[in-house]
Amino acid sequence: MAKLPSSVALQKVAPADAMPVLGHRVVGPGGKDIARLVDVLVDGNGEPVAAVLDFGGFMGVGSRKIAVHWSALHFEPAEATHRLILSLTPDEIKAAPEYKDPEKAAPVVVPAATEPKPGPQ
Amino acid sequence: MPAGHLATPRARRGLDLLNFFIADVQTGFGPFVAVYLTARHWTQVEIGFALSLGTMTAMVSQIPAGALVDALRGKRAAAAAGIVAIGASALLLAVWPVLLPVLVAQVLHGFASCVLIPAIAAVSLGLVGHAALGERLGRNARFAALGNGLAAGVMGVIGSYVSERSVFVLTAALCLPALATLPFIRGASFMSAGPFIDVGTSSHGASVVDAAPPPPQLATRHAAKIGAATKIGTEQSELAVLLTDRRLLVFAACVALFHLSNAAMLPIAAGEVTQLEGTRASLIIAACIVVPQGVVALLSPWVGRTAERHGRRPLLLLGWASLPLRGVLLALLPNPFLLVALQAISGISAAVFGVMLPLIADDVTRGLHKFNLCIGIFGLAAAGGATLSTTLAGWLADTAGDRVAFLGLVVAGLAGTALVWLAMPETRAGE
Repeated sequence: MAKLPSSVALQKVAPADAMPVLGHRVVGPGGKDIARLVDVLVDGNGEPVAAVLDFGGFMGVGSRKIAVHWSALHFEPAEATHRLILSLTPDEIKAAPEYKDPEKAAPVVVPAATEPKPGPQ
Repeated sequence: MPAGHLATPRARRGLDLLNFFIADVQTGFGPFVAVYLTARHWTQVEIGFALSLGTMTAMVSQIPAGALVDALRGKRAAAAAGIVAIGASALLLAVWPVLLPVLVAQVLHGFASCVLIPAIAAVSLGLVGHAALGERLGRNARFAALGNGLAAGVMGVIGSYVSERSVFVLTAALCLPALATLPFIRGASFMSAGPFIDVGTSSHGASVVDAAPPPPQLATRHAAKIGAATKIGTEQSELAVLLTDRRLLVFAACVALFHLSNAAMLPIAAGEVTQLEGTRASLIIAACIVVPQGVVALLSPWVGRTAERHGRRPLLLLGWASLPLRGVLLALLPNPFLLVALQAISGISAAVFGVMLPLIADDVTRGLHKFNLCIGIFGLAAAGGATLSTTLAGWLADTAGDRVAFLGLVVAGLAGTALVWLAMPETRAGE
C-alpha cells in the first residue's frame, strides 16, 4: 500500500458513525419498506438539501421518483439495521409531484414542522 | 394440415417449452435492471447510460441479426447461441455488477435477443411448414405468455424478498432448461417434407426453390416477381423484391404505430398507481402485468387458427383497434382497480401482435429466403415506435398531464387502425 502523504491524515469512520445512502432502502414511519434513495441534491457547500427517492412499482414498472427535503429523513447508523426513515405520511407522499429532470427546478417536499434551510434565493 | 402432422408430438412439446423458458429468461431484463443497479449503489446517470446502450444495441441489431439468422444454416444452433449469450449476460449482471461487465451484458443481451426472436420463428417454420405456421405461432405465443406471467410473479417475489441479484441468478439458471429443449425440436419435416418447408430453415434453400415449381397458392403477381428474382439469382434482387413489397412497408408502418400507441400506456398508468396507492401499488401493477399474459395465453391459439381460416385482416383490425379503446378508457377512468381490467384488454392486442408479426413476415417472404430479415425489419419498426412512444408521451404528460398523454396515445392507435383498415392488404396465401 502506498504511504500516506503527510499532508493528509487517515480517519476511521465506523459504520455506526456514518452510513452509505445511495441505493439504500427507505422505510415509512411504520417501518415498512417504501422506496429507495437514488440521489442526493446538495447546495454550494456540499450540504444535502434534498434526497431523491424512487417508489419502485413492480419489477421496475411504474417507478416514480419524488424529491424530499433532507430534514424529512432520519438516519439510524448506530442501529444494527441501519434504517433510513422517511417521516412523510402516505398522503403527503401521494401529493408530491414527480421528480423528473435534474436540469429543472426540483419540486422538493418540505415537512411543515421544519424550517427549510436558508439558501441562495 | 399438410406439413404440421410431420412434426412429432415430442418436437411440438419441445418447442412449447422452448417458448416458455425463453419468455422466463427475458422477464428479468428491461426495467428491472434499473432496480437492480440502484440496489447495487449505481448512480442514476450510469444506470441511464447502461439502459440506453442496451436499447440502442437492440435497435441497431434487429436487421443485421435477422440477416445473420437467414444466412445461418442451423436455426437451432442460432437459437442455442442466443440462449447461451443471454445466460452469460445474466451471469455477468449477477456476479459482477460494475460498469464494464454490465455494459458488456447489455450489448450481449440486446444482440442475442435480436437473434433469438427470429431463430425461434425459423425453427417453428422449419418444424411445421407454412400451412400450419399460424396455429404453431399461436401455441408459441401461448407458452411465451405463460412463461412471462409466471416468471414475472416469481421474480417479483424473490426480487423483493430474497434479493435483486437472485433474479439474475434464476435467469441464468433458466437458460439451461431452455437449451435442453432444443434437441427435441426435430421433426420429419426437417428432412423430407418437401422443398418449401425448408425455405425458412436453410440458407441453401434457394437452389431447392429454384428447382421446384411455383406453389399454386402463391399470388401470381408476387410469384412472377419472385420468379424474376430467382432467375437473376442475386441477393440484391431478392432484397429489392422484399423492400419494394407494399405489404411489408405498410405492415412495418402499422407495427411502428402499434408500439407508438402501446409502449407508454402501462408505464404511465402504473406511475399513477404508484402515486395513488403507495404500498399496495406493487400488487396492483403485478396484476396489470400478469393478467394480460393470461389473456394472451387463452387467446393466442384462437388468433393463429382464425388467421389461417379467415385471413389476417380481421385479426389485425381487432388487435390494433383495441389499443385506442384501452387508451380512451385509461384517459376517462383513472381508477387503480379498474386498471387491471383495462390492462386485460392489452392481452387482446398482445396476442394478435405476437402471432401476426412472424406470420405476416412469412406471408411476405414466401419463396424468398428473407424470413428472418423481415422479422428484423418489423422488430426495428416496433423498437422505433416504442422509443418514440415513451419520449412523446412523457413529454405530453409533463406539459399537459397524464390524461392528455393517454389521448395522444389514442391518436397513434387510431392512426394505426386506420392504416390497417385502409392500406394493409390481406396477406394470407391464395388471396
